Amino acid sequence: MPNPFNLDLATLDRLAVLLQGIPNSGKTYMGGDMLKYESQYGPVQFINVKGEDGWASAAGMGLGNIGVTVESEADVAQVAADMIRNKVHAAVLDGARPLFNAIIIGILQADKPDQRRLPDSKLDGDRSKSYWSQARFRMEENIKLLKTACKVFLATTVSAQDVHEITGEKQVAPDIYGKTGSGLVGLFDFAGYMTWTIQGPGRIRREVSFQTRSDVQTRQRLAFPIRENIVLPDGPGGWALVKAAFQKGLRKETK
Amino acid sequence: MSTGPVFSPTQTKAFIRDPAAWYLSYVMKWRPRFIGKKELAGFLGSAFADGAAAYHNGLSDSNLDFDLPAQEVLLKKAAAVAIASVTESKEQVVRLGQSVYEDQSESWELLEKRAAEMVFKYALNMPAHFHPSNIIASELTLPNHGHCRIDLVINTDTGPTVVDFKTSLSLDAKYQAMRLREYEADWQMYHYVWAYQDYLQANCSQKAEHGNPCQTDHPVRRFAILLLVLEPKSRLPVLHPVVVDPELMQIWVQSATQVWKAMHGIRTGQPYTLDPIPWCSFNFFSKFGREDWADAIQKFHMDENLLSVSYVKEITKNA
Repeated sequence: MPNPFNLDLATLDRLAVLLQGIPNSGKTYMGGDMLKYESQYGPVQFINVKGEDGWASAAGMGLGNIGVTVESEADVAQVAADMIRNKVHAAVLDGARPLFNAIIIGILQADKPDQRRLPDSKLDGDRSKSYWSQARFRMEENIKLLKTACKVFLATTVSAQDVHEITGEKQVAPDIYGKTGSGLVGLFDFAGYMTWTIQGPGRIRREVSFQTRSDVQTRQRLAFPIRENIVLPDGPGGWALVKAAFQKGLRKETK
Repeated sequence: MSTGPVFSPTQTKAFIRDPAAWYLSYVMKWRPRFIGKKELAGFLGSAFADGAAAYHNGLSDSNLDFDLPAQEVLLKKAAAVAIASVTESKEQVVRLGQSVYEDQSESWELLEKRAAEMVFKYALNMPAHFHPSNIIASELTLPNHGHCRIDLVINTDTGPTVVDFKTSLSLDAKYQAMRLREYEADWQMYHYVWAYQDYLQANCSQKAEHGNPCQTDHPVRRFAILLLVLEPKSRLPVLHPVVVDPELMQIWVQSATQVWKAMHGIRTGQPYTLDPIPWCSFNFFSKFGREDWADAIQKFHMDENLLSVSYVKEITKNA
């Protein structure tokens, strides 16, 4: 009989993290920092989705020739297969929103620049609903595939404010059309929200929160959850702090 | 590796749907006196799977460059296997003294013909991924995993993919996408993935015992549905791959453990205790479409923080 186990993470051997935040909150930099840290355990991969093109934020970390740009689902499938073949340990997907755009453009077969558009009930009739539904399914499939193709996976996405259709409450969620963003959060072990505040001339304080919040969609599969924001250092070392916080949440604190 | 009681996906789904009906059918061995559409579809599905397996086995045994007459012989052999399977099912019906509902008598008569037609349609329109060089196993029975039978295991760029055949006599094109969505988180598919994964690990452990290094680090990343619709003839078989969600897999394992414990307890008359959180049935669709609670489990994995995206919680005030 299979061994029962707790749904809260028991180890960090496999880990999927979604980082959301407004532009310039440090998501891509954190991705690069994660790859640098995890590269001690095996090969790493930076996946840039055409349209995001924010990889310069992770440049200069000595990661070398590990980047690849994808612009279609077929590219993602190829990258995932290569990652499995090359036993890639950790990967970053930058970012989720342009990947969703690439998927929906693929579904609409509107890949020429002058044809790019979203499903439209005036143009597509009843099919427009089906297109959205297919795109959501395929988006989830692509994320799941990348997640299983390596041991540590981090995806970035920009945030937007979403209004709950029943309660009318506002909540910050990944900026991917409709409920796709919320569905996406459920695919990750951790979903963090990155923020920054200006402390003075040239001084920026960056933080990431994984704790349960009513105003932001976050997630943490920990038996002993993180309760406070994690303050990130100015330079590298942020991922080490985040991972240490995850590790701490796996065990019961003893005095 | 599985060491305790494991029940087949068909039996487990029957238990989840209605424990009393499961008890009457699988423990007490009662059978309905009259059989109808559902049972006939089951006979047809099994016959097709047997025929398709015979075709794959024939392909792997033969030279791939064999000529057209040889291919025709193989096709006929595979169709004969499917017809023999139907005959066997029919004999069982007669042995038990069951009868067919009158409105299904024509379908009963046509079973052999339809089974053969399905095999022909499949073989002549087989997806390119099913090339013999990609086939790892065909009609693989796993006795230690509830005697489940996996239709096909193929090798893909992302590792082995478990394939299940689904057949339908006819299906309106507009319902095809919805039908496929129903299988995306089907109990049966998660059972196959778990079973095949466990089977690989058991083989791996045996190899390691003999000094051969072996590693299976979650190699089954995908399963796929092969949907074969007989009518219209122009409709080609559809291969629908689905990535296994590791977290949903965990929910399934926890659920299966609970369900099998209850089934085993009832069957053997032994007392059993269950976890405070009951199992999930993986019934995400009904005739009305997607169930209200499908998102809670399939998308949000029962995470309290995410549930508020699609659900509201009633607050009860304690006196």
